[in-house]
This record gives sequence, structure tokens and C-alpha cells, in this order.
Amino acid sequence: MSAVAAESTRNQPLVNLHGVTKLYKRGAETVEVLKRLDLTVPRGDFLALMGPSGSGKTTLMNILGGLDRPTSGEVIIDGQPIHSLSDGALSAWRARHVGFVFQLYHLLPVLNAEQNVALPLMLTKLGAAERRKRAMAALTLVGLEDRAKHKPAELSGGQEQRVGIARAIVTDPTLLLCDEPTGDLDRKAGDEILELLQLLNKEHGKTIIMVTHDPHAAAKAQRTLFMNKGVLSQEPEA
Amino acid sequence: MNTLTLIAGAFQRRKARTLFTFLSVVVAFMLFCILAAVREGMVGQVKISIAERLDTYNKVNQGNMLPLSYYDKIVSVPGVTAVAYFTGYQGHYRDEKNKFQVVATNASELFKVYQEFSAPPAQHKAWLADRQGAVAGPLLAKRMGWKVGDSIPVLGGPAQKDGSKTWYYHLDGIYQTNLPTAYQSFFVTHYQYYNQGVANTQAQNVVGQYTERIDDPRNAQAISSAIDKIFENATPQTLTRSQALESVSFMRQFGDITAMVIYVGIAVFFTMLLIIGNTMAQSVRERTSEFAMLRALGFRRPWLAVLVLQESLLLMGAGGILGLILGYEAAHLLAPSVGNVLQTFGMTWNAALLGIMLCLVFGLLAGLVPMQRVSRLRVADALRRA
Repeated sequence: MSAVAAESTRNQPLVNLHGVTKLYKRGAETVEVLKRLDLTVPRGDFLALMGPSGSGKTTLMNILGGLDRPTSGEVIIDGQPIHSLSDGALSAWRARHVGFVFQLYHLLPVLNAEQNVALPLMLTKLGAAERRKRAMAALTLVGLEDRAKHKPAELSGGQEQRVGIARAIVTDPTLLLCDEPTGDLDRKAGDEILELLQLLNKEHGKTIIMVTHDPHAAAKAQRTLFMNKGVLSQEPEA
Repeated sequence: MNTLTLIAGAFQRRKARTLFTFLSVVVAFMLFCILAAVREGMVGQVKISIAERLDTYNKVNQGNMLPLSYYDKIVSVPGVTAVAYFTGYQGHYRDEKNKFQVVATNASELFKVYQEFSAPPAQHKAWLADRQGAVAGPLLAKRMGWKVGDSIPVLGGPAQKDGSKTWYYHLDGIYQTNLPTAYQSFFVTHYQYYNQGVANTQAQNVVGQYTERIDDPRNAQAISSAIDKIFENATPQTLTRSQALESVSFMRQFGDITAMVIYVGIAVFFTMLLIIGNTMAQSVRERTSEFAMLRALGFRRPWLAVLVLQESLLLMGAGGILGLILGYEAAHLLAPSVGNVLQTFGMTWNAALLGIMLCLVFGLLAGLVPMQRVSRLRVADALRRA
């Protein structure tokens, strides 16, 4: 790729949503969770999504991460229209391009920190030694290299979330999707996680989209969008 | 880390549940081995019986004796190529726990009638020449720690003319046979030595049965009739039948038991399938959010389905194989105590292969429902519910 083409790719928005609608059936009733959403997220952005429960934030995150499909509309990530991918291709795409950080961490309790972090690398062709090396590098980045052999039950909530973040970045994904990453933590641990996300955004150039209820957490992002009744806006609803 | 780490981790989540489920598989397959051994004991006799061999018993009661004098008449029947006769007693070596069957026979004819038995020529020759000689089955010799050349005092036999109940033999050889375990533990001696030594006059010059080898199995019925006709007006009368016919008749006595053994086996395996299926379903249900997380990380549906199937197969396979090994050993240990009734009692290779196939089939069946559950998992819903 030439320098001009590379520069052009860098300048393209990472996330492009066009007219995304999501309908759910609840019994006989059809609920429109997302209403013809348009969204553009530039590469290197740190975007916070706020809104009341049931406003459609998590649904939007799931669609962005390829865990759910829109009823209509286009979802283009890094130039790839993921809404048209098959289930298998979508799984492979997720493995390469997205890192998920969950509110409840979702670590496997029977594996230690290093093994949890190395999980996504099982989908690569890397050898065992290389996988361990990369998992340790990710753990070092989140400051938990000395806890590598500890199981989740032996870690604090903040440490568990750090392991979750290390697992999300170990494959060096393009996009980090964080669903209430500080929702289950106290203020101090939450702040540490937010600082870590800021570091990943600023120092490592990760594009981050974070769903949160917490204005304090949202304030750490570069910008905030508000979701209400399936519609995005720049301002919270009065 | 690899798939095995994940499977081992899944088993470690509920150690007690895994252990009990594993043990239920082990016990079920042990039971399978015992049932298979019993079935073999019932039907196996037919396989090793041959139509070229006839047995002649006392017509009134098979347990009653026949005169030794019948031998010359039986051997002269056209079509009979060799005749062996048998009597004997149950004795023990040193300790009453070491019981075994002492068979007294006309040694020169034994290997002609039972061609499945053999011994090294030198040992056979030595035995034929030694009135006090004996040949032992390989299992019996191993169990007692005997070697060729040993003097064997057998205790607990019938009283001899000098009042002693200890019979002294020389171990001249160890016979070989590919027949089941029960046939490998006889202690075969000369009838002449027994007959001349036994004190009870009613036990002298009589035998428990004659076994004839015939030239053509198609003549079995005619030869049987010819033998019985000779003794039609004698006391006692005889009853002669081919061993193949005898075995079928023996098996018919157990016909319903064989069916029962099969039904019990089916019930045991069906119950085990429910237990394993339930354990697997429960285990997968508990890990729904973990499977959803793995899907989010990029693991595909088939990969997770195969993971669940591997868990099921490993649980069933490991438990099943251990059960088969323990069951084989148990059948081996039980063989001497049931050998009198079920001489072919024991595990066969066919039964072992069937057991291994059952492990695989039940492993697949038990993993089917949880595998479907994982395959149909809706990631977004599962993560939301967690």
C-alpha cells in the first residue's frame, strides 16, 4: 500500500452506520429499538454512549460488535459491511477486529489470568510460546504481570476487569467495545479502568466506544452521544 | 493452553458432580462386562462344542455312574474313533481356598477326543508313562505356582485304601488350550491310579461319563442311537447326545435368563444415558454466559458444539474404558467360582469392542442436546441475562 493510500485509510471513519433499524418482537407487539440510526466514528475516537435503560445502547453495541444484526440499514466497520456477513464470517471478523470489555468481566473461573487473556489467541495460528508471550505482554500493559497465575476468584473486581481488558486487546483489534466497564466497580477501581482505557486510546491509538450510565465515566471520553428511545443525539433529553 | 484445558476446566467446576457421574459410567460398564460374561457363559458353550463329539451319561440321572466295562462296547461301535472316560473329585492344594477339579481319565485317549488340548510332546510322553502323573491347566499351574517336575499332594479327595485322603501326583506337564478360562484350570490324572487307590468299592470301576469322538458329524444321531441300543437291556441304560445338541439344550434352560440379562443391560444403560445427558445439559446451562463470551471473542458455533461433544465423549470414554478394564478383571476373578455352571463365562474381544462402541454412541447421544443448545445460543441475549 502506498503512503497516500495508507493516509487515506487512516482518514476514513472507522465506524459508519447508515439508517440502522432494529425491531424486536415481544409477543404480538413489535418494538423498534433503534430508529434509522446514522453514526460515524473516526479512527482513534473515544466515544461514550449514555442513555437510560432500554434506550437501545446495548443493542447498538451488539450490532457494532457483530453480535446482533440490524433489521435494516448498513453497518460498515473499517470498510467492511458486516451486516451482510454470514455467521461464520462474522465470528472470524470479530476475532480479528473487535475487543469486548464486559461489565461482569466474563472471565472463565477455572483458568488463570494468563490463560483467560490467551483465550482469543486460540483462534490464531500462533504457537503456545508466542501465545503466552503475547498474553503476558497484554497483562503487563494493564499492570497485572505479577498476577498472571492467579485465578479470577483470587483477584479484586478492578483486577478482573483489567484482565478483561487485556483479553480484549491481546489480538490487537481495531475497535474496543466496552459495555459499562466500570459498572460493577467502586469509584477508585473504576477510575483506574478509565485511565487505562484513556491510555489505550491515546498511547496505542485504539478506537473505543463505551456504553455507560455514569457521567463521571463519560467525562473521560473524548465525546459523548446520548441515546433515547432508539435515537442518537448530541445532548441528553431534557 | 488448548481445548483440553477448557474441557478439564469444565470438569473441575463441579468436582463432586463430575466424580459421581464418572463413577456411574464406570459402574455401568463394569456391569456390562459381567452381563456380557454371563451371556458368554450361556451361549459360549455352543461355540466350543462340536458335532464330532458325543457324551454318554447314565440315562436315569446324569450324576449317576456308568460301569467301566461299557468302554469296550462303545469303542467298537462303527464310526467311533476314540473314547475318553472321566471321573474325579474336588481337591485342594495346601489350603482349602486353593480348590480345583481333579479329573481322572484314560490319558492315552484324551487328546484324541479333545483335540483342542495339547502338551509339548516330551511332557505328554512323560505323563502317559507315569501312573501317578498329572498335567495341569496353565491358569491352575500359575495360580498354585507349580512347575513341571513338582510333586503335588492333593488334599480333600476320597479316602484311599490306606485311609489317607491325600493323593500324591507328579506334575509331568502343563497342557495348552485356547478354550475359555474354566478349561484352563483342570488337573488331569490317570484313571488307573484313581481306580486302584480309591477305598470305596462303589467308586471303583465306574465312570461319570464317556465322551466319544466320531468320524463324521452327519452320523452323530445314528451313532448315538447305536451306543444307547447296546445298553438298552442293561442296567444302567445310557443316554448319548452330541455335545452341540447338549449345549443348545443347556442354553435353552437359561433362555429367559439370557433375555433378562439383555433387558437389565438396556435398563442400566438407558438410566446412565439419562444421568450423563442431564449432567451435560446442566453443565452447559450453567456456562451459558461463558459460551456467549467465547462466541463474542470469535469462536464459531461448530467449534463450541464440538467442544461440548468432546466433553461428553471424554466423560463417557474415560469412564467406559475404566469400567471395561475393571469389569474384565472382575469377570476374570469370578470365572473360577462360576466355572462349574458356566464354563465359558468370561469377557470376549467382541464384547469389549461392543463396549467401546457403546461408549462412543452414548457419548454422542449424551452430548447431542447440550450441543444443540450451544449451537443455537443467542449471544446478545445470553450476555444480557448473565
